[in-house]
Amino acid sequence: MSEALSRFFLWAHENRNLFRILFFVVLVVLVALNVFEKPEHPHVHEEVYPGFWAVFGLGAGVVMIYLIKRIIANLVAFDEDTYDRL
Amino acid sequence: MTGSSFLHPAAAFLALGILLPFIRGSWWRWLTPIPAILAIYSVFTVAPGDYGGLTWMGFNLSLGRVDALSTIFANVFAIQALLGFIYSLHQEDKRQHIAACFYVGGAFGCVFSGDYLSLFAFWEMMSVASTMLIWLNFRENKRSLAAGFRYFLMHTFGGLLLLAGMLLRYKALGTWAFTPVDPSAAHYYDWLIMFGFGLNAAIIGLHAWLPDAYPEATVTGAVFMSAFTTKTAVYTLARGFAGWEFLAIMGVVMTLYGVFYATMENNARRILSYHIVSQVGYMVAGIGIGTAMTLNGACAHAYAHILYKGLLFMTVGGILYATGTQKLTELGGLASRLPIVCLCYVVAGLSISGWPVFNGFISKTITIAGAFEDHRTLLGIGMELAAVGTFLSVGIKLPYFAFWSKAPDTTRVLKPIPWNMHLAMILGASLCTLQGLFPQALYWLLPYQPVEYTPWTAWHVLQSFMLLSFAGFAFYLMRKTMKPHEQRNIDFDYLYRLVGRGFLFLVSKPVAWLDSIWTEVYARVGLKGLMGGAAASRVFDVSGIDTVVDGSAYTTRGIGRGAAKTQTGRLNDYLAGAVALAAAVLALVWGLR
Amino acid sequence: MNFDLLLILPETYQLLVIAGLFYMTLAGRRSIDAGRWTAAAAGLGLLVTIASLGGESLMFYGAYKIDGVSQFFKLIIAFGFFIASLNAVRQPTLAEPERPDYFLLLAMSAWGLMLLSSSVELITIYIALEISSYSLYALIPLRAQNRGAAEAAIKYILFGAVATAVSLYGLGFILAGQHTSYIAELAAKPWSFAQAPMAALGLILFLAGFFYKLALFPFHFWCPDVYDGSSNETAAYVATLPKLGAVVILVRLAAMLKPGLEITTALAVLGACSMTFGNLAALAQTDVKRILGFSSVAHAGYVMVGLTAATAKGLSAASFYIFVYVLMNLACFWVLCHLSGDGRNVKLDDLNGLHRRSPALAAILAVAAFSLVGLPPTAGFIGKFFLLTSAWNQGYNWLVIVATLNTAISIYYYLNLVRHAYTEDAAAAPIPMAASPAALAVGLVLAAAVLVVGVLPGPIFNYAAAAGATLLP
Repeated sequence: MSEALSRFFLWAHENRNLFRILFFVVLVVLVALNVFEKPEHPHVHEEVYPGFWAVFGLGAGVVMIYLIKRIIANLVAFDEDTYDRL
Repeated sequence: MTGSSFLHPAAAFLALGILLPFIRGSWWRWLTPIPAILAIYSVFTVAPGDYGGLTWMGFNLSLGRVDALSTIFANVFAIQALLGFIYSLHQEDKRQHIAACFYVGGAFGCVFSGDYLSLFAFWEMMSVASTMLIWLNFRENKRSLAAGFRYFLMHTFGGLLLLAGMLLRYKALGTWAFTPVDPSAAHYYDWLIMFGFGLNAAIIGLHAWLPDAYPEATVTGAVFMSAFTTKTAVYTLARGFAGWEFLAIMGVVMTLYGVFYATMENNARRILSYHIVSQVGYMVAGIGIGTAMTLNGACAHAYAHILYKGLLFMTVGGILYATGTQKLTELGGLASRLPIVCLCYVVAGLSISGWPVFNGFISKTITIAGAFEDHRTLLGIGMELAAVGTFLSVGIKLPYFAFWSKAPDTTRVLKPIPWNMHLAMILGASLCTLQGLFPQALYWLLPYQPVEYTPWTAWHVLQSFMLLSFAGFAFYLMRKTMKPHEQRNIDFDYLYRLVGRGFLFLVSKPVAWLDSIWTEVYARVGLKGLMGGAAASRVFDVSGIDTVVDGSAYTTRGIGRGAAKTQTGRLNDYLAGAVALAAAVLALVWGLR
Repeated sequence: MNFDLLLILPETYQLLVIAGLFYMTLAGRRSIDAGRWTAAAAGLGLLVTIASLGGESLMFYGAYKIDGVSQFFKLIIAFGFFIASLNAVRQPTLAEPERPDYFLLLAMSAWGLMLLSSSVELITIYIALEISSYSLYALIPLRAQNRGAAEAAIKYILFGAVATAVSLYGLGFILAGQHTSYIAELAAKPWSFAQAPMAALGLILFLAGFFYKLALFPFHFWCPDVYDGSSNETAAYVATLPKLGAVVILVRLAAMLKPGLEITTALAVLGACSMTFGNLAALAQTDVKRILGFSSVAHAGYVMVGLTAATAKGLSAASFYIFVYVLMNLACFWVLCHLSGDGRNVKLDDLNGLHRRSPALAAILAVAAFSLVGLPPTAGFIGKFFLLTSAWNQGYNWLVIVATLNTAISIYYYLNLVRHAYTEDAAAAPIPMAASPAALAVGLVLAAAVLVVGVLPGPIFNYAAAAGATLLP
């Protein structure tokens, strides 16, 4: 099992473009499905718009990464052995 | 008493822990899974009731409070203990097994304790045993010594909060019974107890011990620690402090705070540690909101969390074991070299993120849905936001930089991973998957029946896929930014150190000042000889204090050094000191009246 | 005069032991080993003391009282003397010709302490205190040709001389102020500074002698130096039994006081200083005996918590705590004495790798250290637990809080002992050990006792509680 899995990971690495395209297709399909499938009891009223959670996930992700890695990380970063010396 | 008998799971663990030092040879390793198997048998067969009540020194103690709430925690503890002991079966260091036995035994003891006294005893047992699990890594990791001390100091502080709270509560109410506290009638001692529990649950401000110490623990020890300390605390909070508004807000803050720090982190086990803070936040929030649904959610999430977090620590522990490093910057391209570890990690990563099929999906969503249904929209949105962050850092970032990111690594020399570690990972991954597919296997254990929540609806699945896939898309867009860097991100522990330094400064300044006056007086009166040149220059050398202080654990010792300097070894100093100090104390007492 | 030999059987028996040892020092016969003989006799003495529990009488013209308190303390003294002499049987730094002398002095000191626990008259108390102290003055320098031991002895004597002189001075003040030296009569007198300034000052001066015995701040300076300088076995005795004598008197005298008195406040302040200072200073030590020395300073402070409460519960908690203290310290010193095969002082680094070299000693040390910290389920926890609960809401809550915080500080250095024993690797040339299976067995029994008393304190605590109740009905 280990061998087969190992070969699969190597194969997947070589065909990573295929996976990338698959991923984009899935994204489009998900939003398309959302046009038909709606929540029965929306938690927040914006949920009635198709793709609300897609936008939320993408937006939150981008903003979070930008804020944390570009701004906050610079404020709290010290040398790795800071605590060993302190 | 409704049931007939109850094999207390802690008993078998403690018995093994006591027995192990006396066993020679190496066959003892096969004994280690036995207490866990007995525990599993025990928790699946026991009927609810009060067992093991006893009177001790005139106090009524209860060691065996078995009800729905304690059973669900004991159930997952037993299963995780078995996985943990299988995972550490290859471990030859007997001390680690002994420490693990006492640690796990303590956790069971806490869960079944019906009174504060026995709870406290088991609580402290866990704290000592888990410190040993950190220290015992000192040969591989020199940092573990200082981290272990800091860890223990924090837990001692938490234990003292608990002790103080329970003593005051006893004085006020005359009972040790561990019963729920009505949030509207909370006294200050209830808050003390709550913060004592909260420290172990890693509430923000008191959480820094967790990401500080867990990454330094042994590979196998961290698997145990990830499961028991915080979840025991979650159990105690659920038992005593359901419906506390403070916890509802704190829980959501925890979910976000943990995620933020994990996004920055480079050390793989520290990422996971911050995610303990974050995931425990979901449970704490569920407890704080306090409806039947969110309490169910907290319990379900604790159950699922122990399984997948244990699996995460097993797989990342496997990486550390094989490569000798846990820094993402030093890893990459390992997927084909550690295929089983990689596969199991992906299962765990998808579980914690809440992907359908895996168990995070059926547990996390209960709390979130419960929050929305209780019209706590802001809390619910906060938790959704944290879910996005969770997927970004544990679901994608960690595996991406550990297993992929670079071209397949064919040259690195890997230490072969023992079969038992693989076995434990595969078992854990299977459980995570099965539980996700068959939620009823978890739901029937929940304390509030019937469980009115169906995770497997088309909308829930679609919503989770959309949220997480597009979070993944965000990662794809920002993958350059996400690249980890070698750095230590300071957290609240930095604050503790500053406080420690400040304390030292405050203590030493006045003393140094007094000391200089003292010398002056002696010089004037002409008693120079008696004081032997008065040790002014040596006592409390303020300029040297910065060099004395290294780490918060050493701050205390630094003060100790100052205090010890009064022990000059000169008899005349002693006599003069004794007389002067006694006179000063008496003058103070009389003068203040 | 009311006199019944059966009631003072423990003291009388101890006097016979002393006589036997005195004969040995004169006879110069070496066919019997004085150490083994003393240990055996002390074992029998423990049984004798147990047999004479429960007597009740006032004798020697009201100066000597047999009651629950005295018998409880005599029991602990007999037990401690038994363990300490057993511990001292194998003493590498004691020269052969001095062995009978050593055990004679040891027995004499214990005898003085037994007298002390029954004395209820200030002059009798003073004399009993001197009997137990004088033997110790001679005992401490008996350590091969060690200069440190001589220095320690000089310090102990001079410091003791000053303390007892102060004490005697205070006694004079009390006599002048209250016109009696019987505790029973003194208890009825006022002790506030406003009503009886001379007596109040006198009492605090008188107590100084006992603070010195107990090594309470600021009369503690001798303590670490003496532990450090004297032989391990002597230190085991000095660290434990004399404190019993001090506590029994403090318990009797504290029964006269009420919270809010200046003297009680002074006790509380000294207790707080003592625990804080002892714990802070212990943090920086590397010699295990010095650590234990400062730890005993801190524990003296804890005892004050019970005394300031001045209720029956508080006094019995203090009595129980000092018993626990003796028990766990004997266990700790047992490890040190048997770890140090050639009698040298044990450093922290000498403990490294102990779990491999001798798992039993390491386990005893761990139990003793956890008990000193006050972690459940050890005797130390339950002792502290009774102390803190008895003192809460008795007027000195701040002292209870200080004691709790101090527990946190102390954990650091006690746990350090365990860390060295369990996680560090042994040095290339480790300290030579001399732990026979029998010695390990006794040590394990001590450790087991620490745990058993922690889990089932009932029988002993009830006895202490009954004793406390006789003082303050």
